[in-house]
Amino acid sequence: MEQPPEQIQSELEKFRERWRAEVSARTRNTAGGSQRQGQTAPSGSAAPSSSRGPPRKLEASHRRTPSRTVQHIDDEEEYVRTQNFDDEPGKAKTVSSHAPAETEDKEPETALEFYEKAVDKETDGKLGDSLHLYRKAYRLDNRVDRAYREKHYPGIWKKKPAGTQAAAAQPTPSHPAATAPGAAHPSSEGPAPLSLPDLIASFAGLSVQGAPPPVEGMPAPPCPIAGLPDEILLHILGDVAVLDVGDFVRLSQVCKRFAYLAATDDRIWRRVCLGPEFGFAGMVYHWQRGISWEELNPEHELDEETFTMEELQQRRADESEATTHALAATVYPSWQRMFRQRPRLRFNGCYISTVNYIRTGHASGNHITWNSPVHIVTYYRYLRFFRDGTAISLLTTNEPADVVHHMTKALLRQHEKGVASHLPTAVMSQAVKGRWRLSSSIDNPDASLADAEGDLFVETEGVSAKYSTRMELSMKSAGTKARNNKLSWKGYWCYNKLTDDWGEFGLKNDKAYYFSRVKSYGFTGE
Amino acid sequence: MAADPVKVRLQSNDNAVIEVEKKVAERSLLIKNMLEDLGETAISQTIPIPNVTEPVLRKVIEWCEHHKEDPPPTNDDESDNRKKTTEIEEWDQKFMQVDQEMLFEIILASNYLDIKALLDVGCKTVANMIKGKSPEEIRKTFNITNDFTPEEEEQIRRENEWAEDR
Repeated sequence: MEQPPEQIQSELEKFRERWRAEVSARTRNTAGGSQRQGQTAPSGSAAPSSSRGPPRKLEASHRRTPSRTVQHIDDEEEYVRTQNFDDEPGKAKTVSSHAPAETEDKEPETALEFYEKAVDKETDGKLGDSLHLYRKAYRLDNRVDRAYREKHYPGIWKKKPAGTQAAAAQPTPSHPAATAPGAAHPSSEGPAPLSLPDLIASFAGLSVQGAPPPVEGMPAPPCPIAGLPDEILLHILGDVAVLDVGDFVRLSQVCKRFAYLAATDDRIWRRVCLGPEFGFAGMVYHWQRGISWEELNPEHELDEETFTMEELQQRRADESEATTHALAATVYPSWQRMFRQRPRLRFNGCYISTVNYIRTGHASGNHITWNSPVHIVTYYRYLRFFRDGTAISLLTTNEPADVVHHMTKALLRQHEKGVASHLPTAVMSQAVKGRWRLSSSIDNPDASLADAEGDLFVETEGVSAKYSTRMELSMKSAGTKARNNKLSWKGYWCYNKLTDDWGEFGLKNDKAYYFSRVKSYGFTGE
Repeated sequence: MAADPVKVRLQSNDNAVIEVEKKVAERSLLIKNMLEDLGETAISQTIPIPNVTEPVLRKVIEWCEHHKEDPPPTNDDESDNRKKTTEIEEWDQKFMQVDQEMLFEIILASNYLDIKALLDVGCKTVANMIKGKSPEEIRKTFNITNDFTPEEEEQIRRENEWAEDR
């Protein structure tokens, strides 16, 4: 997102042009236009190089603020100002629906860019920034939401009657994330491309095409991969899948032959499902550790049939593999489907729950003012899971970018009891240890094998030693395409170890967790 | 056999004859089975390897020399496959630092000669070249032409969106 200065300059020029045109168009417009124009003036003054606040520049300066404290203050300002445009996107739309048509076809891309950025910000939980950007997007193009949908969800858009102003004026579908930050966009239920199997079938028997020579008449560059038979290519694809499933799936987009092989071969998916890297052999259906990561006491776990922890582990692994095979035979039509749909926890990232709520404040006694402030409170819950059945849970107001990379076991230990609070990783001093397991038929003996799965239990240390907490989450999918990327709350309890009491937390403000991949955790999440 | 290692002679498709220890040559299941079938008579003869050129054959033999003490490959395909690490050992990594044509020649030769471990290393090397790249970068790396129409490409992309982690 950082832009080199010269690019900003040219953007600036472009924007000035646009601005002038818009202002001249707006003079014909209603009073609403000038009112909002006045509102942007203070934000413009934040960018010193220009008297007219160019949004690009402003954006860049926000992004570049180096220290966290500065950023923080910045954010607070944003939030305080939000009282001005709490429901601004909706308002902006109604007002600017009278806007001249030329603004729309003049710079649709830029409006779209603003809109996209706004959606991103909103997903991050930065409501202030996001509203700001939405406003800008709509002022540039009052039908930007359509452009956005056309770009990102072409399928659904085609189905709707085109050109109805009414559809565009409905606030809910036009703001993908307005109601639930980070939620997948509700309009994503695209129709499955019907001809896909046919399309794939048409790729059968094709070979990899070598690249053409850079200059005509020259010999073509060598393309030795084209000479490989299918079985070796599949072997390579399988190796890629074990390294990273995402990379494997992306291979389909390289050329027709890869697409055909990746779509028609289920053995790779079988391997992925059965393997521990991304598959179900890595899932934990029994507690593996104590809440504070201590080893479990063998005497509690073992019964007459098993004598060592290793035996117990082996037996459970066998059980889990048997379950996987049973599900493959009955519930899921293919291994690929199983990978996609069977509840599965992911290790190569963390789950983030962004909580925004609005709290009405009191008008300051020192100022005479008409309205009382509204605070938008934002905090985040983070959960990271490890393969050995342990977890880290963290509740903080720090933003994801400042947190996710520090969510490691080593840093948690380093900052235990609040030591080394001067380090940038100090946010981890608030993190607590925990453990996790998935539900299985043991928890729901009456349900079918498939229905018994899908819940996640997380137990963590409490704020003080005498408490521990228990979360029950259910594994959901956000959007129709992505799977296993959402954890929604089922219940949250705290347990008093001394009095053996359970207390339930209300879930009023608690939003679902969404998965975010974090590169620094590595491909396998260790 | 212990005192003086038995040698066999291999002939590449460009008629170069390379003499190697029997034990080394037997890393190749193809040659091993052939020797077992023919018995002692094969030792004195030259074994033709019609699909492999001399430089590639020498490279493959170099690998077999280094790995001649490895335990023989097992037939327990699946469990073996799953426990295997994705890491390539250091010597093999160095060994595989060759140009792409040679890399794929080695893969083809190891497939033909039935040297599973070498085939695995080769495929993993290619997999590592693919890892973390965008489709366009993969095409560039391997000189592959994009043979999709824009519509097809879009359709495939959308179908696979679910696996992308933002």
